[in-house]
Amino acid sequence: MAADPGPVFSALADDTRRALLRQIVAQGPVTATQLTVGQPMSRQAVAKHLAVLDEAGLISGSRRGREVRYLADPAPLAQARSWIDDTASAWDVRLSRLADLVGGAANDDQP
Amino acid sequence: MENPPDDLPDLAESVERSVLLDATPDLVRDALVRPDLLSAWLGEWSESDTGTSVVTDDGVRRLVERVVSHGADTNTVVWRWQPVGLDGELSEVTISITEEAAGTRVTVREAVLARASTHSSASNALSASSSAPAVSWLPSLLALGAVLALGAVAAV
Repeated sequence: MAADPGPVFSALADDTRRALLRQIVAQGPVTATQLTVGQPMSRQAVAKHLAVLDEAGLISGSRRGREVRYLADPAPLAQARSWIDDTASAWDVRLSRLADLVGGAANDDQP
Repeated sequence: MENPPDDLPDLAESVERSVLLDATPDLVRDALVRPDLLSAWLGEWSESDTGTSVVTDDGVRRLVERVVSHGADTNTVVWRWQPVGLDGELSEVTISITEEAAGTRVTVREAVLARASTHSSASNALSASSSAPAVSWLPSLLALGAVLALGAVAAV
């Protein structure tokens, strides 16, 4: 069974956090201050979003002097992908059994 | 703010599967709510005073909390479930049936529920889940994962 993807899904349920993650992916190691530039929110707000991403394992921070630089981590995304694949496969099997139980599948023209 | 790279297509909200069955809606409804019929296709389904559970194909017992058993239109069943004894996902399953000319369509949607914090037991998570919002995004992760993986390879 795949690891619990809940924290990843929860973290990425927010548009702002998804945008921040995209920005970190695009820019590489980046500080909260850099991520705040041009944002309609404070550095503190950005830091809170980064903390959620960090808790979900989607980013990690490394301190250099007074600054923390954040880098994206693909591992939790792989876990989420695994959950999606496992869940889809499981339902394919279950629905096939349901079809057998109630009389079979009908011709389905739906793509 | 600089526009983020447009490399993340919108992800589906959840896993969704559909099948068209050569059966009446009534028969299909029964298969979605009767424990004996659920046991025949979903997994060993048991209901007792202590709760409802099902043992699925992977041998995992899941605690089940019915959220909607036969919706207002009697065509929707919703439950939340979570593996017992594992720090597994808490998810919500929505099954809807629609009558079509060629049969009855069954559509299953399963989405991980967001949680405020990790939990120590499935029952706690289930009882705490009533206010948890369902995941409302999903698909762009996959493209993002690919981008990150490529970056990892390039770094090597």
